Amino acid sequence: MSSTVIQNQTLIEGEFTQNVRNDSADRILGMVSYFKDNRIWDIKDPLDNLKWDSVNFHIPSMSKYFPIDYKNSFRKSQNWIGYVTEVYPNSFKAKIQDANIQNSTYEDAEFDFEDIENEDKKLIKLGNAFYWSVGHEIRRGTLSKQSIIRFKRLPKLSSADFDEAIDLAEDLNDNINWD
Amino acid sequence: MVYDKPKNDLAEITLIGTGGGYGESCVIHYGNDMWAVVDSCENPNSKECLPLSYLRKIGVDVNNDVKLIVCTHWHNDHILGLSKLFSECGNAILCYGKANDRKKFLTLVALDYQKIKDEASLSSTTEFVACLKIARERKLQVKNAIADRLLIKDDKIPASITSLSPSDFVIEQFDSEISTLIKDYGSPEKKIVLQHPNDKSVVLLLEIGCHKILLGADLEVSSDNRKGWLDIIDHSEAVRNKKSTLFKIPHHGSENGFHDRIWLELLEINPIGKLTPWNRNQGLPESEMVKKYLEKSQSLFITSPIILNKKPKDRDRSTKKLIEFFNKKVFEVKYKMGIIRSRIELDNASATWQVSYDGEAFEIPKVA
Amino acid sequence: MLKDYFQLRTLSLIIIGDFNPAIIQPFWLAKKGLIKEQEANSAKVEIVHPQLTRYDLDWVFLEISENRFVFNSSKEPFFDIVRDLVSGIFTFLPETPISAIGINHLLHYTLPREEQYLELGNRLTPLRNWENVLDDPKLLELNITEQKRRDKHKGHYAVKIQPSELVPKYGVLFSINDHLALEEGETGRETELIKRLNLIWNESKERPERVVEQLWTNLNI
Repeated sequence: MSSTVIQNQTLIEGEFTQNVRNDSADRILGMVSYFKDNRIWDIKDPLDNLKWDSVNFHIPSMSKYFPIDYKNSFRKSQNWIGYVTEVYPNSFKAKIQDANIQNSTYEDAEFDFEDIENEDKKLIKLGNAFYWSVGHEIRRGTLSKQSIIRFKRLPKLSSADFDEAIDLAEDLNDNINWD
Repeated sequence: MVYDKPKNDLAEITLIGTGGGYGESCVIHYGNDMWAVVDSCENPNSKECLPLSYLRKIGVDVNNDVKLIVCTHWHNDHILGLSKLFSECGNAILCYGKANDRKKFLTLVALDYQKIKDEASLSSTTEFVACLKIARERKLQVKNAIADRLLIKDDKIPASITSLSPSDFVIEQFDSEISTLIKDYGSPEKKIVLQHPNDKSVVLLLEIGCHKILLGADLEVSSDNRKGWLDIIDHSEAVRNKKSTLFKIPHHGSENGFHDRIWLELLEINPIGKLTPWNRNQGLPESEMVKKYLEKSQSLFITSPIILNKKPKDRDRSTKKLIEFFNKKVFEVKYKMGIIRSRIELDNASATWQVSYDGEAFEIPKVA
Repeated sequence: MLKDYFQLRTLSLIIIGDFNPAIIQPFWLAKKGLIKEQEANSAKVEIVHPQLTRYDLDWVFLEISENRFVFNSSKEPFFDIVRDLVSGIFTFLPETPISAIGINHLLHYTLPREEQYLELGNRLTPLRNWENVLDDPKLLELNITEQKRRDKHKGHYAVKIQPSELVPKYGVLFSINDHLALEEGETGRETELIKRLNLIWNESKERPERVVEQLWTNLNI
């Protein structure tokens, strides 16, 4: 798939003007490029009977119809967030909480290391957080059962976060009536 | 069990348990419509704060009559719902276990609180910070619990609540631990893991009229008598010659919370014993410990049964099958609410404890 | 219950602000530890350009223009991870001006019978009012908004109902737009909206199904 839509456009600073095909059979998708049949159309394609309009690309507050590749998607899944509570040589135990229902009991679970992807193995440490989901995945139109375990990846607290924490600590220290 | 307010001349110690996992709490009436609450727990399905609901149900004016709220440890789900309770109890003093370097401790708590946005914060930290923020607004005193510290007293009744732990040694150790935890603070997706959190828990001695009650929190026994129960037995002046007739058994009746000297030196013969179970991992109390406690107590009560056969959470059939397909080791931590209420006439030295219970709570029968 | 007819749920998270599309490439994300290296290696990159970047990481599709940052995912197990990715990116770019965030939850259902499908339109907007106005009127799209957010943050909550083209016939799409805007006095340069996104995320995830189920109950079809 070539990404030529943009290369052949004049990009005007502050506003992006593009030519899109406005065809009665398709909708304008409100994006920077035109999608049909999961392809980006090169506007230089010699397509017959096209009506070309110039549209100012504006930013709606609500999404228009975005292309979702539903042939690669998930049916309804059961999802949890978990925290490692014990680590053994070949497995770990965790406390897991239903990710979709905050007000519910939690569960204890045990996972084998072999169920964890290699890049995530170094994250199996006491206290570390991970996501677990089970469901049916549709991939290229084929349905299969899936279990996905993935450890959370977030940046370390920034200096701004540290500053905020220290400010909070100072505020509490200074303004509470300690005995 | 009838849910009514005790008369002014009745002491009440009510233990609320959730089956282990959602906290436990002790609600205390120390006479003349004065109340204290130790720790908090909640219904995970509704987030209802259970001690608060109990107090309201029996008609207590929580805003005025709750005088003290003690957080025996701020870590690991012991105080779920505490901020809700504290926000309603407008005249309560907040109390928690001391840290020598308060600012350093608050920095650790605040750092963990920063993780709230990433959900890796301890839920207890969010509760604790919320309580501190309320305390900041209210300007009411916040007290620190240490060994042999009088937390609250009323001469008219008379009644007092004294903390017996943490010891100086534990407080010093905690200070070093805080430094390490702050230094190794690391990724926001990781929760803080405290070393030996139970060492820091706050044991309370209640003296109400002519009766004494010992609330054991989660304190364990150590071979080092500078900490744990041996520190209290060997060094506490507050418990000298004061033996309790009601004992909230520590640490879910575990072997780690048991020592013969506790029963010999801190408790009258055959006290009333109450405890909450812990239904995670192997489950507590173990049957051998139950036998021991039964031998030593006049009566033994537990807030809910020990669940031996753990089961997966109830879900629709297809989801259950799917979970089982991938992992057969997923078990629900069940919520089982139980209340054990004990009342006694304050001024009657020969009075006996009247115990009633509700929910999943029951008296453990003595086997003949 | 409507959930018996559920087919698919997708997420489209849109951030409005000022961005530099060329920076936020897969390898930048991997270098910052926000995605796996292997994911960066196997990303399907369509374009990386100072004015537009687009690529697919399999579990999320990213499109970044100078004013708009879009995360699309059709894999529910990864929705929280998308949120983490958003949070992580803007932790590394903390002064990026952000003026609005739209969390769009798209829920696709297939109704079992044509009568139910048509009756849905009829119950949402009584079509008898259109008799004598149009021939054989049908509802094509309906948009209802809650102008003040329940959590009191600035923004709104809107529900759009339209046919779904992603699922087999009699498909209905409920698009929930959970929109956050800057409060008065906020500049958008202090990740205010990202922090707010993290605070409201769980409720934002849970509410759409409740909304749809309640509506279905009310319509009593």
